Amino acid sequence: MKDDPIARVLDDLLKFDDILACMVGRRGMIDSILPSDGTDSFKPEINEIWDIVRRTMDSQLSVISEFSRVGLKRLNFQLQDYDVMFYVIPDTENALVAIVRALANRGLIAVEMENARREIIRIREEEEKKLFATT
Amino acid sequence: MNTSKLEASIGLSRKWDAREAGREVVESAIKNLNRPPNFFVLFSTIHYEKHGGFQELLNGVFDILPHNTPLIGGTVSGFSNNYGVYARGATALAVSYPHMDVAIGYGKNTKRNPKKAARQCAKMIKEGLKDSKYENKFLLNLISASELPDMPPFNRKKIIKSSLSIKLLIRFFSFSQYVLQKGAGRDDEVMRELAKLLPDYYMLGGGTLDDEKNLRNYQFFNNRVLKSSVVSLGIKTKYKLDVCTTHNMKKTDINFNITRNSKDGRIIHEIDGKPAASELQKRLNWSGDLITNENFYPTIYYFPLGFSSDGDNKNLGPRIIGAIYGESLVTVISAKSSYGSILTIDGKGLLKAIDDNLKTFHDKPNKPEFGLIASCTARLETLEEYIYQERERLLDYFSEKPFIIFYVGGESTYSPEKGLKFVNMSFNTAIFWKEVN
Repeated sequence: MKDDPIARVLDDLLKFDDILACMVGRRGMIDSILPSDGTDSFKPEINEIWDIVRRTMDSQLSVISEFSRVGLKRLNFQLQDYDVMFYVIPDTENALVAIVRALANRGLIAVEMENARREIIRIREEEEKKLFATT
Repeated sequence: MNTSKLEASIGLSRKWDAREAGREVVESAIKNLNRPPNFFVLFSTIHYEKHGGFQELLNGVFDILPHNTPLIGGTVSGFSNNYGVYARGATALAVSYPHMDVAIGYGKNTKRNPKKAARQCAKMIKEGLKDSKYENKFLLNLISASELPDMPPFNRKKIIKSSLSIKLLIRFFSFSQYVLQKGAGRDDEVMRELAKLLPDYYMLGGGTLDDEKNLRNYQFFNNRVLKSSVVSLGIKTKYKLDVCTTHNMKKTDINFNITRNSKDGRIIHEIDGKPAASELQKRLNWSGDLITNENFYPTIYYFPLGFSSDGDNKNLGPRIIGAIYGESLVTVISAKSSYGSILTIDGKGLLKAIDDNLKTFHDKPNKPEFGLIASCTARLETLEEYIYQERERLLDYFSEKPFIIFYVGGESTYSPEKGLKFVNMSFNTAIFWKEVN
């Protein structure tokens, strides 16, 4: 995980006080990418609701896998005192997911989520180019 | 190499450590310049407060920047430039040009005595530029915006319903304003005084912010970090410039009269003789519990109050409701006229305000050389990731030329021809171009 550039993008997002947890997720949590130290840097308050967040998140990721190909770009839902924001990575069934405090400034976090999404797309394109060059 | 050519360049850092970010933002700005800059304008988000502090940010800046370079700046909620849109980091504009004189000024205690602060600042600018022979005059003003005391129930909540705490809150506000300098920014009063004292300048202004918790904000003056202050950059140059404010708000047919407000005109208690918050929601046909702390931005920000600052009721400017305390609507601009109207806008309208603004520069004889733009933080927060469409419009207009949009609270322009425009939810440009040869 430590050398994964996408994990480093997630590390950066987690430095925001209001982002409690983040990952690049996929239905069933298969091949999900976590920050460099796994879930260790998730803010402790997320532990109390992690099970319910994880289950809810997974059902939303199923929606994303079904509708990302027809242009679904973003999903948000509010769960108890938290917002869960999904930014779909185009042409994949994956989404950048962040759990933020409900009273956080979502407008400002949305800008940095979009920057992270763009960075993840750029990293993936570079990886694909490298793969293509070696085959 | 043409040594008399204007050179302008944008710096950017996304590093978290304050000192490293300070160094990087200068290095990235001055690498494109052949001469040391005449001035350096620095904008930073609030995050460096917890990652080394703003003094370290400025120490990092002056590790690289020549120590005699005039610098002003401040904290903003975000910024957009030739590289992207960001709600975290630091950006800067560095300009080098032989045919330009520069002076910087500051005035302290803007929340306690805004006129005195403006006078102190204007005196420094006048003194610094008294021998300049260039006729085009520009003033960038960064003023500490409203701040709330960092205590419950203020932090984060935009709506506070308990009537007991409201009375205490409003009483505490006037104590806090003058003693602690935590309260209304009074940046509109600073701007009015600056326009009075320096009437032949073209001005761009913005209120420095944090990440919209409105708990604290900072201004930068050379290597000093200030609070509750105005910092200004005065320029006299051969380059031509103009300023423009647009907001594209549409007036609805919901009109009212403010019948009771606070002494300074910023807190509205009654509309048409009725409690303001309930009456406003009734007129909008909104149920009483429609606006919540969670949905405050995407609801109320699209329906600002329209007010007249010059007595012309046909020309209403937007004034955002920043919080609702009990039945009182808290705004940051002091209105002179009691007549008001609800204005409204949608995302497309917010973007059209940019087109409307840039159109006013199309008849200029030369393309833009660089630009500084003060945009309301509410535009950033309501457009969210669609804010990239704002930047795309600017990229089209400026092409390769440098620009910074900095997101502030309470933004303004002043020109001798158009007067002072101080509103919310607006887009304010200061654009420079080469004079005709």
